[in-house]
Amino acid sequence: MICYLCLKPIKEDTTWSNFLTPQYRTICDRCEDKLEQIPHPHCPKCMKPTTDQKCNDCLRWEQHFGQDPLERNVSIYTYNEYMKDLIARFKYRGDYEIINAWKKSVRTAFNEQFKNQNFSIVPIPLGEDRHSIRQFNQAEAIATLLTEPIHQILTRQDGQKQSKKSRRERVFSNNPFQITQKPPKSILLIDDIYTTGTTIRQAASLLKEKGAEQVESLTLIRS
Amino acid sequence: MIGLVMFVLCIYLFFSYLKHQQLLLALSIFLYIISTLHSPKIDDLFMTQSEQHYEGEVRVVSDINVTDYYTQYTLELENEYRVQVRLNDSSHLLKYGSICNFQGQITPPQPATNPGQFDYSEFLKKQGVIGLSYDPKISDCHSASIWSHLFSVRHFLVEQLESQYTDQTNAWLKALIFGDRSYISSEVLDAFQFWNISHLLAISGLHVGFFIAFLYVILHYVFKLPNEYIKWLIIAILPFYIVIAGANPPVLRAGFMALIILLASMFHKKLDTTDVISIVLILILWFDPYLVYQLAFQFSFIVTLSLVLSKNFLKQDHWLLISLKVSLISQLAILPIQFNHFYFTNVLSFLANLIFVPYYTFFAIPVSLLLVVAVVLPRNVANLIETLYLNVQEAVHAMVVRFGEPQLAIWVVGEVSLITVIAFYLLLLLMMRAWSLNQLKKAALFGSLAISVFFIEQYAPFFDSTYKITMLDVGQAEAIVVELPNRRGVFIVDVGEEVIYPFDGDHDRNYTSIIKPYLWSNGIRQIDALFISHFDFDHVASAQLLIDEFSPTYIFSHPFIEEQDYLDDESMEQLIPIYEGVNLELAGAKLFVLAPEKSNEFLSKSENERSNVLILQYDGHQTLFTGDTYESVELDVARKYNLSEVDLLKVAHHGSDTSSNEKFLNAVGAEVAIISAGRNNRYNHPTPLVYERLLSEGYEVYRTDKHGAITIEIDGGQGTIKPFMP
Repeated sequence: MICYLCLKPIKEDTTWSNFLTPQYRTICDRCEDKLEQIPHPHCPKCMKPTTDQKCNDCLRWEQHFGQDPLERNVSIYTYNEYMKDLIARFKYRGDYEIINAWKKSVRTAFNEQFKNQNFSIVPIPLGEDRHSIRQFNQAEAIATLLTEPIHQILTRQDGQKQSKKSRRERVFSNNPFQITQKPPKSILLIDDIYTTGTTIRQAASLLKEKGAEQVESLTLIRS
Repeated sequence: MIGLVMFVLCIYLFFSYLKHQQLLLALSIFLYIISTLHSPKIDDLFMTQSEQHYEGEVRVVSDINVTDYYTQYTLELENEYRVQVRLNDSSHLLKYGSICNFQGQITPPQPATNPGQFDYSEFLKKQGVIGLSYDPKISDCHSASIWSHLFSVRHFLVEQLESQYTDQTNAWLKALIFGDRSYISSEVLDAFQFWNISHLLAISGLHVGFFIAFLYVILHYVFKLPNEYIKWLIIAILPFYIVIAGANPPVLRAGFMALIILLASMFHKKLDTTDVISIVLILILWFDPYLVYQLAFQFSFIVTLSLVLSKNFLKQDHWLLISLKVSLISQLAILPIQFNHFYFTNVLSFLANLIFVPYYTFFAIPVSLLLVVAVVLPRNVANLIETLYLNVQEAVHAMVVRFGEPQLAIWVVGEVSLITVIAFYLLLLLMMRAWSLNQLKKAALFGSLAISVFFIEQYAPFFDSTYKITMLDVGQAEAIVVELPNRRGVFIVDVGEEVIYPFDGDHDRNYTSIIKPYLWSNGIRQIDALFISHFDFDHVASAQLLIDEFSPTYIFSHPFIEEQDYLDDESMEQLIPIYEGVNLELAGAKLFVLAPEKSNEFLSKSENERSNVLILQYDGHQTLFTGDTYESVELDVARKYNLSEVDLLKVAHHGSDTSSNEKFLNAVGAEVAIISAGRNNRYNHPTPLVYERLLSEGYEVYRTDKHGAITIEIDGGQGTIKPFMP
């Protein structure tokens, strides 16, 4: 066993909890410690660290939409410096295999929060240009960690890179998504990072518009 | 059965490892098969004859072992069977590994003849030993193995210490440095065993750790060697240390574990500790497969493994909490084995560990090591340390002995079945798993369930409707245990000891090695009534011990007791005299006392004739107890009472011709007669004439000298006789 992040062999002490149920690990304790799980307390709706019942972001979204198309977002890690490096390595330098390091945590999060609720998994798509540069879709990569079937029912028009826009621009830009078939009732959107929640909500509002009843999201990172 | 469980476990592991570790899996299965072939089969070890003459070459496979009575060696015959040899003459030393000529008689060791009794024959077989030989002729020894030099070093060191220190100090040093505890008083050993701290007297991880630390300090600070050299030196010295320290299972385990960890660190490898344990286990068993049967070996490995697996929740805590956890985990891990060997566990042993582990760690062991080194110091300095050491040691251990064996601490469960053992370990596994995942509530739940498995075992007799009468094989003496159905009551008739010539000072052998183990193995801790037929040594000698430990509600005997020193005043006060005409009802059983008559004529009669003769009736089944009574009383009883309903007869006076009159035997309606008599006893009991008489009167006769303990089980009106040796 080697760690997918630092590429060193994983040395794990045998204890009562694993000596008869050996586990195949993809991340070592040291790297796992450097990643930061989203701390408590956080907004129950979008997992932004806050002591409030509902965070300011979510309140603003409700003002914007009247009724927020996104019921809930679940994220796993914070966007700390180490994670920023990893995401750069993953998305911009093409280290696709790195996602295996998060296999266990993504599966655990899914099993704890979304299992057996008939969610259809829909990864957030990339535009064609972006896809041909990157050669893979990071959201889809994360979705493949789950063993559920993936529904590719969204496409995307390339626009300016999200990360180069201001918050105001992101929130009010035109919806870049199109839908290819009638959406299922319950949808779980998958993406790598939830920053303002605009992308997810653009997809969610389109899906709702076309007949989806419930849209939630699972993202690796809440920045 | 155990094989089946192992097989299921293998299948399970097979599937969980299938995905990732094929090589490891293949290796495990290979080793499993090899080990099944390699393990010795105890059942195949037996001598075909009761005595055998042997002449031929033998190999010495043990170091000399000197006891108070004899010098002992283990020899290996040409057919690879081992024999234990006892020599009266300790002068000529046999060297380890040497080949000698052997000429002598070999006899098989005495097997157990009672349920619950320690089986010496089995114990020796588990070391590969099939026979004993007393003072054989051993000659022409040659080609000793190189290991014998190590034993010579050991003897040399022991001699140096013997010349320097007193015997008392040497007894401790031999135990704590050389792994030989045979010089420590049995009082202390028993107390240590009782409090579950005898692991401190076995050279184990603690001692090996100290030795290594000690070496390190000397090499580092005195010789100022670099770390790399020190490690190599320690690796080189450790094997010698293991032999000098006695090479017992715990020191083998600890020594080899240290060796492997050090070796791995020389190549900058860090091995998982559980892997190290496994490697050491496989290595040791490869060289001596018999070790797997040894209690010390089982305890050492099970405790070490369970502590290593627990290390994630053993660190970072208050030392007090850590030692409590360590005690708890160790005690739980070996609990079923403990019950099956000793029938009880000490629930307060963690307290003893709390006091004694630090004492041994910070005082006894380091100072013992210091004393060994102090041999080179001026005599008065060494002796000063010795005086200090000895005073503290003796005071501390006198304290343990004085604690005695408080009844409060003893939890008697008895022998446990395999199902119980499996259920316990499954639950223990779940408990430890929950604990290591910090799910404390779950851990507590599984822990309680694991313990309650033994309660089920303990209370099983309450659901058993068998009525049991057991005549124990106590040699030329008598002891009978009556167990009423559903544990309604337990009675004991007589608690005798054998009169042994020459008297060797041991007068509780029957009680400690047969009667008490029988009762404890059946989970009995308290009895309802003790009947003492009469006050002769072979019927009453250990009654006081039984009264002290099993606190009978009633004590009965005949009314003519004169001066005696078997029972103390308190017990004598409790004693209720019973005589002809007394009828009792106890726990649903009826007792009719038929003799002796309460008349002055018995004052002039012998103790034997004063024996209580009584009928015990339960659920229509009658047993006639006769003590050592004579035929005059028998005839009297037969004349006055109807004995035709009796189902079981305890033959009077060990089958002597003073008793068992023909008319009496004829009057008794029983078809089964039981006799307690010693093997080849000096009185020739049962007298052949009486034995013939019993047979010709149509009795089915069982005798302890031929059958061992005799158990009569009655269930649903149906009686079965189960002699221990069919």
